[in-house]
Amino acid sequence: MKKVMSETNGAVFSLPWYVARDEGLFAAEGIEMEFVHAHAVIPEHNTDNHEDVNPILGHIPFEEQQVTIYRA
Amino acid sequence: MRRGSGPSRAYESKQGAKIIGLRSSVANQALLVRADSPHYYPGSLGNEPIAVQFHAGSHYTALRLLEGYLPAEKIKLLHYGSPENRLEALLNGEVSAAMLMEPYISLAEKNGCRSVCEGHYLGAETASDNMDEATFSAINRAVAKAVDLINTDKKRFIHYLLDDPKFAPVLKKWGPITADDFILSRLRYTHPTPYTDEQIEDTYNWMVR
Repeated sequence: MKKVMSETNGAVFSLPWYVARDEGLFAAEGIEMEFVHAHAVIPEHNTDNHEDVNPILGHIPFEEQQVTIYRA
Repeated sequence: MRRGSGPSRAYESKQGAKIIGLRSSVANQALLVRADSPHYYPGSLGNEPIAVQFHAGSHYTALRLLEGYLPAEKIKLLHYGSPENRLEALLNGEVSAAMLMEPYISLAEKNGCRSVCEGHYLGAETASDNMDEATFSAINRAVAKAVDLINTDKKRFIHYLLDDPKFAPVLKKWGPITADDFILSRLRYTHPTPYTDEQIEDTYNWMVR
């Protein structure tokens, strides 16, 4: 089995991945899938300037190389 | 340049990221107002504060929807971050409207809110160099079978949205809702497909105009 770490950010975006894991569909392909939640984004102030916000948002597990893939 | 999409996030990544396909979730973002709101269509929301998350689906879907009704200088988007913050700001009256996806849409509607416009949009699968093609193909075969299962009986799988750890405290405060409260056509899933050069070019041209 090949282990894959995936970041998830909102169940609606990753629903097929959750179902594939729980229905044994990843395992049937030889993949052991593990999920790590993206971080919540809680702004210190509610800016109206998008340049004030880091586009990486809560995708910290990916940036820290805990996972190899995410969807957003 | 607008920096509001997966391509820009991949560009900004410090660890190195590449877009390797479209995600199977064709998510929906709805622009919601409270039950007591005087707004019934997007064209009256000029200069009204609207909660979004910058550089994410709620941001660019709001722009794509509102630019059809309002001049850019009247579109007042505010960064509230994650959807739980946007819902809270809407229900507390801090903003006139909020962009939300499921299951926050259904929870907002359960609390009397209404959608004034909404749109489905694409999203990207983003990976590091450690994701090889054979593994991604195997993942996609499994995901495609899961999509077929979901589309056979969407209601059966809504518990995943309700059980999401980030949603649980929000649901506890503003709920309850059940699978029967969802409009199932908002949950749209397709087999994984490539992010075509034409789609990337169209997205890029929209971002830089």
